[in-house]
Amino acid sequence: MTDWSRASLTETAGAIAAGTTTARDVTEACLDRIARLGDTLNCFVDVDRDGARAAADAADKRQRGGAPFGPLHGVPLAHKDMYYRAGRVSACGSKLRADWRAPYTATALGRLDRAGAIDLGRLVMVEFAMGPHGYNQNYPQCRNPWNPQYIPCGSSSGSGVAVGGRMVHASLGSDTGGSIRCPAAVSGVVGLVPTNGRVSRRGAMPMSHSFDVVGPLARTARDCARLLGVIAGHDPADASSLDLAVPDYEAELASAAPLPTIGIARGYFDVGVDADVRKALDRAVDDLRRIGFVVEDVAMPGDLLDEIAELHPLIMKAEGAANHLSTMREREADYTFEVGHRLHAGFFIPAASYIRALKLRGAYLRTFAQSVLSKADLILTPVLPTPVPTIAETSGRTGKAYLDMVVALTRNTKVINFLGLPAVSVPCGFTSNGLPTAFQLFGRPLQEAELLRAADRYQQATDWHTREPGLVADAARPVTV
Amino acid sequence: MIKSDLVRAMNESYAKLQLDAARVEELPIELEQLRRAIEASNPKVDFDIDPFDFRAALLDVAAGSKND
Repeated sequence: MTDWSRASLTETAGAIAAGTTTARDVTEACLDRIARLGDTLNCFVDVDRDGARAAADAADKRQRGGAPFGPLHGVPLAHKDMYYRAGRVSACGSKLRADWRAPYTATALGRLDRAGAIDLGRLVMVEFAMGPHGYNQNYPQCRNPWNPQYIPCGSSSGSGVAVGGRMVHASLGSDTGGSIRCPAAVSGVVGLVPTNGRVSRRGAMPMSHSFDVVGPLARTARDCARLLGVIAGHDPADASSLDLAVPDYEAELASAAPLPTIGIARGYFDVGVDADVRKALDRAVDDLRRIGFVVEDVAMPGDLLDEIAELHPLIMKAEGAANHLSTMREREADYTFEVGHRLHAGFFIPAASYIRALKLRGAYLRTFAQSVLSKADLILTPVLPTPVPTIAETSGRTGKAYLDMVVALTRNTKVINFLGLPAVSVPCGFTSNGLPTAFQLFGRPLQEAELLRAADRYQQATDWHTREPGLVADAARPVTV
Repeated sequence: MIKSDLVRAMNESYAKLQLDAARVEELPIELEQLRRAIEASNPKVDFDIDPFDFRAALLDVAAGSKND
């Protein structure tokens, strides 16, 4: 008997649509895995078992009655606890919002609902999405599904763990400096960051309005294509959303157009890359060439990227401080020590500096496109330059040591947010500690279809995305952390 | 150069946060990094550019192609 919790989203949706299985059976399989692994990995804030079962039964009933159904019909998902659902708590990882009930439903969640997805509950995230490691002192430690002693990365920590741990088929995360791509990379799943403005942010907790992007984590590029097709598109209620037609991303995977050219980033992104990570990337490049991609080195403008890497936190912290000014004044004790401290700097950034940094963004994007995206359609980089660190290695840092850790984890991802470009994180092997590693592909704005086509071709020729954490394969065995 | 006295003064006049002494000593390091970043970029800021130029740039670059 097939355990559909371990299949991809598109395979599972296909099986439900074909009547091979039911929404209820798939939901039960996911709930069963959550029951087995949830207390070890601590990725859920709340599991809505009754609501999910009722929604699955309703979906099956509609199908039996011959009613039309959507592309995610009956598929169990769960999302970072910052996507608002009318009347439901959305704690955003914080004590401050532990009982806060959203007055409306996020546009992206509403679109998933209309496509037929089942919502299993709320996933753990870093407090107010501020931090790349995946810690949140307000909850039990969220842990990496490949080895619970290692970090899950963040801030969409629960999303990466739940998808990698086969508890749900996909999840919405959000990405301001790497918060989709890093958790996806360390959990061995695919993370897609759409172009800035491609997906509505209405009803998604704001962290930094210049950089925040809504996107999916799933097991395959094809899954991400289906999800993006559902959530992308103009939203009149979100002034930042682009009013442009949405391609059929899934159909584009089979496009007969020439394959995009891929540039291997030389400079900036390859600084400090660990030997294990480099080996996996070299093998991925060989595989891409074998598949038929033209892959060539492309020199990166190192000075420009260094500047962008330093300007990113200036904008992010100023905007974060603006969001949190009132609560930081009145209830700072309710912030975790780490996030409260992280917010402080933003209050001391002069408005003129913030605005000048914003003024540079467009010019730097044009310069970067001219010097890099004119050389290749897509650019390949490591997501994390080093193997995944352990929880012990990254805990308890303060001051400069903490900032250095943040910089190390986000170096290769945050510059993409500054430039507003689409990017995808794709698993491409394991380092000697047994944890996954991944490459990042990025391209021109609105080039998601090409990114997903390249990632899908790679996944058709390799099997990294099909490998499962030992905990999943042996979930019946009691787990000791 | 940002010193802890400046952080204290700015906090009292504007932010009004309950900063502990250790954080008052730590913050200038972080703020100095950010100050250096914007100082380094200052010469490149165009007087006539609107901060919202980014959206126009995004669409321009999207419309471009390889070998532009």
